[in-house]
Amino acid sequence: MWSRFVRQVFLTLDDQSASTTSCLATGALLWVALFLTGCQPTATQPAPNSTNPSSASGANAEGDVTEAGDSAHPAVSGTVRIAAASDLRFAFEELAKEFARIESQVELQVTFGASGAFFAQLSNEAPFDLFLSADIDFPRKLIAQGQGVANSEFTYGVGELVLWVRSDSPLKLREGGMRVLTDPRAAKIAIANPDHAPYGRAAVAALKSLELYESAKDRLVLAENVSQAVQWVDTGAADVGLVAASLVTAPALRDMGDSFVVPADSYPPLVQGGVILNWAKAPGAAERFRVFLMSEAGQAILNRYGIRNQNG
Amino acid sequence: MDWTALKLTLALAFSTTSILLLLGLPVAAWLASTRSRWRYVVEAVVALPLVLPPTVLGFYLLWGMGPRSVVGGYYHQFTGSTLPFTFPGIVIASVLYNLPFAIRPFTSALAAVDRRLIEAAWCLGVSRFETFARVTLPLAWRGILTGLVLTFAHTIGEFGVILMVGGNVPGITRTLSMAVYDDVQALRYDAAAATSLWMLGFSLVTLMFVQTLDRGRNSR
Repeated sequence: MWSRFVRQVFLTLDDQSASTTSCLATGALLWVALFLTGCQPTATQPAPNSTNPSSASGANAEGDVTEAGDSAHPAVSGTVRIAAASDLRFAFEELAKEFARIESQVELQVTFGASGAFFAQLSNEAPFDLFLSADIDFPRKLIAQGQGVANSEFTYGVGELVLWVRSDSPLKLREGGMRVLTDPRAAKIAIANPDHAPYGRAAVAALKSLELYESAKDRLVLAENVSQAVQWVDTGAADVGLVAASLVTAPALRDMGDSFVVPADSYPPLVQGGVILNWAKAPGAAERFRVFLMSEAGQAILNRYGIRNQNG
Repeated sequence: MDWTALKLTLALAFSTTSILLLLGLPVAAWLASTRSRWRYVVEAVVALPLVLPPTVLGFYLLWGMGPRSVVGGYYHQFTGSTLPFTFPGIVIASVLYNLPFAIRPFTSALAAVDRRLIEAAWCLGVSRFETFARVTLPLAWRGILTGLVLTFAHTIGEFGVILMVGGNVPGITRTLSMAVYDDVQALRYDAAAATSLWMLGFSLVTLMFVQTLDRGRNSR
């Protein structure tokens, strides 16, 4: 199957005969047809308020049936599909391990990405049960749009923005602090895309309030999410990054570089929040994970990864 | 419609296409005439980007162009800048990614030229280069143009590699496909729709153009 496909592509590129290019043209026409038919359902999606309540309550009812034994505390089973902000990438491994000890029947299936990107997907009813955002605004908006379970929003911590360089970097954070950003050797400054990543937004806000933005703005490179920004600095492609403390203080990266905490008053706090989606297939199991995150054990792990709990 | 992104994308496509014309023709000429056993190796390398995921190519490029690699190190020494997140960086990425789209049509066009005509020219004392310019090229230009148009169009639509090594810098590495991606992520559906429609139209016209080229060649 695969080899036949490859051969097909080769044939097309060799284009020896008119028939292969007419294949190409037919292909293009097919795409147009797909595009036109595909238009119908997507056109309604940007206005979720009108369509959602009915379908969402349907999904909910279904979920409740599968979670029939939920009223008694123990014995919840199911798979929780989680869309998680990418600053949780390392902390999540430990969270999942600890959670598995407590709830052996619940399986976690996690996807990491930029919170804003997830918000766009979830506005179109992406198949997730639980959304762990790096910014509480996104869960609130989902509830306002009628897509998050009312009152299911929760705040699980506050993220921290740090300046990060590789340990072999000529930029000395300990002496320079934020001023290393004005050093010409900081030729490429990696941040997450402020368009859809909360850490990127915080980075831009911090640069602006510290009056570094004008000098830095032409040297900014925008990563798809905050962990790609970390990866760019880690590979040496970028010289310095404004990234999540939760990633660079993780064991995997702790010894790879130096970090400097960006003054917390220079950007709006990164209040991290979550929400359970209306169409969750396993709302009971998702609720268990939420409870775990807010428990002492969950909070302790998050704290260790630089996502402090809100009160202290 | 993001005009900066359009201008940048066109600049990228023109650069890629012209570099591949200069680089690809000699390789294709060699592939079309050689009987060397290395031919299969070179053909396989040229075809690699067809099967290799853009993420894999992007990963290697990020490592290979970074300041701590050999190539990236020399580049840094001579120019004082690094390749990732710059326009030259995405041009290199896009040249590599488009190798098969240029070289394969070139090769088949050159191989289709009647060998006897070329040898007759040589026998008449015309130099190899002049034979190539005055006999081979005029006979193979449709295939070569097909390769160029495919390369150009494919560069316009490039996404994965640019996402890996581009850095999404407006006016430098934010191409049209990146702009569409950003617009969709940020829920700016109107902007995404406008750009997408433009690209759909462009692709369709390009393919129709390639088809007319091909028809011309077959009816000749």
